[in-house]
Amino acid sequence: MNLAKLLTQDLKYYLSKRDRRELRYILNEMEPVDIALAWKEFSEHDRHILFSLIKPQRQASLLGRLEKEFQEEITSYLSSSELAEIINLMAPDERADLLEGQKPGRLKDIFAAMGPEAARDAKNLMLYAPDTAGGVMTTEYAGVNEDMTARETLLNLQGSIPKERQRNINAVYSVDNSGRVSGACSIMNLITADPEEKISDISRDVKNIKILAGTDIEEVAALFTRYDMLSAPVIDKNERLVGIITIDDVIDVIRDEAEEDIAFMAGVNPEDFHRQKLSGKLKTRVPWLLLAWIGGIVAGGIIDAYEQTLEQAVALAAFIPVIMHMGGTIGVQSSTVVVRWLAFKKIAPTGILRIFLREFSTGFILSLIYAALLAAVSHIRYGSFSEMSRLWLVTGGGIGAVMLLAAFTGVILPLGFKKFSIDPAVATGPIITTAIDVLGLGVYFILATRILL
Amino acid sequence: MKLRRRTPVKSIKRLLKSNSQEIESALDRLQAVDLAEIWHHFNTEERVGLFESISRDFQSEVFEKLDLEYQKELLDNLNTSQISQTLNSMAPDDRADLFAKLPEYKAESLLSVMKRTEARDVRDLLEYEEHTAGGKMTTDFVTLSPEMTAREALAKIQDSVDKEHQRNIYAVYSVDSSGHLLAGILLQKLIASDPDVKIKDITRTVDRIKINEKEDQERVANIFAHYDLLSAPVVDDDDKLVGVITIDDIVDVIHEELNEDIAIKAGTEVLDFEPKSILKSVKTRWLWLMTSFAGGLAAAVIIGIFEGTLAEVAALAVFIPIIMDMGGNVGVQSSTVVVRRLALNRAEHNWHEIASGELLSGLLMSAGFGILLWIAANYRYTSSIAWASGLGIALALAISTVLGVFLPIFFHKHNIDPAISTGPLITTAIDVIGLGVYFLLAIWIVL
Repeated sequence: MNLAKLLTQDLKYYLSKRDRRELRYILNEMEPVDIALAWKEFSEHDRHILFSLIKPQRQASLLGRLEKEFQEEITSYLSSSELAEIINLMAPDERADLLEGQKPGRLKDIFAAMGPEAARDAKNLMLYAPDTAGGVMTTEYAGVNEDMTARETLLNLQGSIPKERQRNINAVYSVDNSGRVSGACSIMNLITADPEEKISDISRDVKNIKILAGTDIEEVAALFTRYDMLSAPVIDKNERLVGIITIDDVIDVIRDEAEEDIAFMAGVNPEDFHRQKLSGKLKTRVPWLLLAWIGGIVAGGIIDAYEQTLEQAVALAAFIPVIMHMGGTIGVQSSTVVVRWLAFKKIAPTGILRIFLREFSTGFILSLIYAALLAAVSHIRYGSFSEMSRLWLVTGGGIGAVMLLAAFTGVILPLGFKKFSIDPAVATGPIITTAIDVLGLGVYFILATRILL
Repeated sequence: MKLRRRTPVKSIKRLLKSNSQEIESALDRLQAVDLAEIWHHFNTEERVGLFESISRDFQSEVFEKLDLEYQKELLDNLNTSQISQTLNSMAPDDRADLFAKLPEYKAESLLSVMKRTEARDVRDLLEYEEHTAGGKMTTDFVTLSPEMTAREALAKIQDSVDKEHQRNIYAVYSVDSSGHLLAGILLQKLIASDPDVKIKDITRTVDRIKINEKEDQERVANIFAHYDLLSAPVVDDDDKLVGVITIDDIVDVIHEELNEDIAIKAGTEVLDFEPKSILKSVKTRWLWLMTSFAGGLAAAVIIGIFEGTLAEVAALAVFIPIIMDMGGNVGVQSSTVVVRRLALNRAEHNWHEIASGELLSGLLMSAGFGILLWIAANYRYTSSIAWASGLGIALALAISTVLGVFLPIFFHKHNIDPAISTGPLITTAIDVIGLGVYFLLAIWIVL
């Protein structure tokens, strides 16, 4: 049984007993992230009580992890000075996100209560768009002059960072006299080095891993995964160190990106992976299904138009499923590979022409294999009937053409979407299978009418 | 960050041929992944030469990134001291993965040239399944005792470090005299503590984040993501500390698992996302296509059975595509959501909660689209055909919802990767069943 869930039940029990001492004790035992998860289980009144019982430092980390509606609830009843106090204890990136949502008038009061220095830092961070390196970086890092010794740096580290925030400091960045970042070393390097050694001598070069503050966060995530990075310095246009990004900021981005792709492939909302809400489910799924429905009706219309052909050779209907299937599957294969390639395009060394050629040749070989297979199967089954002696040409030719067409569409569709700034992952889902079904059945029946009749 | 769009294969070949001294510095400017990615452009002789030209401390990094076949090739061609040096400094979990894939006699002979501590580490890790916490952890860690001071602890960490081959440590853990896990502390907190304070007074409980050695790697990744961890202790069933997992091992897991889900869903494999040869792509994809092909033929058999019905009422064929299309989509929607929720969920027993939400929305949509098709079909065809198609699609969608919900749960319970049920498998299964139901209804209603 999940410990966090048990503690939540305990909280409810002691809330009903109004036992503040027990409540305070349990809240102190729980991780803020678990409290945030359980938050929606309580009434507004109880949430108010619970929040007031939590220590300020933990209030700050809880506030940073709550969903937006709950953040708003709390910020609305706290006074500006109470809020400023908690905000000052929050992690810088979470702080900026929270301030972002405040009304201008309120924001002014909060800034005034935060103190000039903290307010300036917060304002600076708010300048960066949330989906850029600047938006997710933290400004709490250890930056030291490169001429300092290991001993001095250690002493400096011990004094300069508030205790609660120390968990974020696992690397030290050295800067030269003009504020440009020159190297990085881990805490481990620092404590195992000769105490008199200069920081610049134990740091490794970060020339290759500097990230501009305006870099898109997806690109940052791709860089981190590809180069196995754990943290990277973020710099401004003048190469000055403005913050650092650590792997835990990036993990969420990697996850979100991939989940979004998976969701599009299935025609669902990524929110469904975390929450159960019927209206939300229907809102995203019905439109996708409607698309498939319309596609199905159009495909049906094609069959209807060729009803005469079908009446003369009912066996043709038997091969509709296999042709639709194979087209759909190969289309999804190609489009998925292209979408994944697009996600890593900026850092992967392969050119677009090679991707296109590779996908198309792969599709070509696969369509040859399956054209031969289906031609053989249909000939064995129906070839003995004289009017069906050329059915193998229709089925083999049909499936080959459809698969080739599908491979082509699978490459072109995501690229086209990208061109028009639509998320290319959309092209891996119901759209592609539906498009291919309609195209495929058209090709199949045209061939059938030409060859059999 | 500046990015090299293309790694200069040609100039590396030229430098290699001319036996130039410049090659080492040219290679050191590359990142390990970049170099590993162009490895297949060289022949065996060149590859061995290339590896020998890489500076020593960079060698193991490149080696970790190479495909298994190239790793094996190097192990066959390098001299003993180079092999020993490379293997000694590899990341423990990557190394264990490599050894797990080697034939036993080969593994034994390699272990004999390695440092004893490292060889023991390999043997320890080989005891565990590759995709469990045990398979991902390192067994090379420092333990503290609760009674020592912060100063003594720091000295112990400093002593334990192997200069030429440093592992990154984020946190250290304290154990009692028989090795049972007690508590832990982040390295940065340790160095910021008063040197004379006792370890037991500054460490914090790790009960919430300790991981059993047999835990599945995906669960471990979830725990890391949930608590924003950098490091976690791994314990055996007796609560003895047996290893430490760090965030860098976990990033790979998260990336791997998600990529795998996407690949399976698309009916291909992860290696297809990294362009190699066309033949390899064909090889991975054609088997998945075979599922679709077999499913399509099974559907053909079903239609074949009802050929008589179809010959009498050819209009029935008109609704084959819509039943297939929508059935497949509904099934994929449900199964994808169930699979992700199973993957993200730490508590094991609430599958019925997941299932009930999905079933409800799926069944609602089945009814809705059934009515919609019935209305549409009424415009063009007889009312009996409209009933057959409307009821047919509603039933097909309902069946596919049920399959989409329970297939992943069934796979999950039997330790098969549930992601399999989100791809071609489910659409294929649903088509066959959906069409069968449709034609049975048609016979019953229309004829």
